[in-house]
Amino acid sequence: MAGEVAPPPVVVATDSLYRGINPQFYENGEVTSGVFCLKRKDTLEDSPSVGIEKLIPLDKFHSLMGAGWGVGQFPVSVPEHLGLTVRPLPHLPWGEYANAHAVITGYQSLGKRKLGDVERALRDAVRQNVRIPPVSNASSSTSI
Amino acid sequence: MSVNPLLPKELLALRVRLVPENDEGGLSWGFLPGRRFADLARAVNDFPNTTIPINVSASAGWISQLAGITNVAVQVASGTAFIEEIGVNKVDATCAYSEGNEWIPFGQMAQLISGVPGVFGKGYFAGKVSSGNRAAFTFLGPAQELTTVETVDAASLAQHVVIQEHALSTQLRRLRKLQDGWDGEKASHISDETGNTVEAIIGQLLQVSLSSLAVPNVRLGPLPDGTLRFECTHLSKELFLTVSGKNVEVQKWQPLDSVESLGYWETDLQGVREHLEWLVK
Repeated sequence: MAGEVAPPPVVVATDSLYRGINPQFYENGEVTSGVFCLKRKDTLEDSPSVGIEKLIPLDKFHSLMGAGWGVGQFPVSVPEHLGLTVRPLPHLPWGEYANAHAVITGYQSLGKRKLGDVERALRDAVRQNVRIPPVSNASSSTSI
Repeated sequence: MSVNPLLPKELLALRVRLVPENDEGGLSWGFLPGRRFADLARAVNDFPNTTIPINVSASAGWISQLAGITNVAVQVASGTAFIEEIGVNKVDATCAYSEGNEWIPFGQMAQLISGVPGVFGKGYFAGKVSSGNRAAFTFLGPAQELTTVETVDAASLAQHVVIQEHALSTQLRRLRKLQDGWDGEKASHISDETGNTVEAIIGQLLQVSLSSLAVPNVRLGPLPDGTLRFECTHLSKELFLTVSGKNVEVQKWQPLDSVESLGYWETDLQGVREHLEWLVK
């Protein structure tokens, strides 16, 4: 039926994820850990959003991000090795790609030290494969 | 020879040779007291014509960095400040200090001893130790590694440090202007208190960089909860300083590819310095 969303997909370790990179989290050509800011009080909806690569083209995912945002890509195995879960969570604002939306969760039970470890490890994963660099803050501030 | 890879080669100046004991029974600058030190890969007799003249131009805090460059413990014993001015070719066993702003004028000499790194405000090291303690000369690595000639350009290094300080201050000014919702969602603005603490840490970073002769790679970025985070790397180390008001959360990793951190601390501005010093040590 029109407008009906298909059941959430199954995500496996060999899948790949897209993560939007806010330009504020891109400093001197490097992604900073703010790209994954994890808090114990985060609800499922607060958890970091990702796109499931096999379900959405890169350019479509990028177009769903804000102006100036970039896109990083990393394998599902990264958060899984950190003890986290990639949970498909349909996001209707993504329209036909609603089912490509997922969140990374499972960190809410971690202490502050482990949260920092996980934020840094996820940052490094994104940093290794920036598919579309954000428009840097310096550039945006001088291009007006 | 192990040299800080972040420092351009042309910044490092160190000429290392070994020489035998002098006629007065004292030790020439940099003399290696033979086989008494088990960690010498080769005995000093294998290097009969070697001295260690170390020229340091106007800057601060060279000793621990020189130790890193040469593998020699060019450190000063902990203790009090110099109780008397050291003359050329004269070193008193009690003349060391752990930290301070004292100057070592041209041609004067410091005792070498393993222990707490000292910080000289400015100085030139040359000449001979006439009353040095043999045991104070401790080598931490193979003697043959002490034959490399490098260059230390204090002015260039200071320039790097000042440029970085300027860049971080500029970044802070920009971050202070972020409004609520700057991430497109629910992010908080940066409070004045947080900004002031970060400003003070930038100042500490400048001091530590100059005193250690090291320029760590530092990024300053916001987090959606209104905190600011320094992400600092140097050689095999990474340090996070997350600032919220007057509070600073510290986390550090070594080596860089390790996932699990060495530790997590909650401190304040005064407690930050030791972690910055760990980073550049």
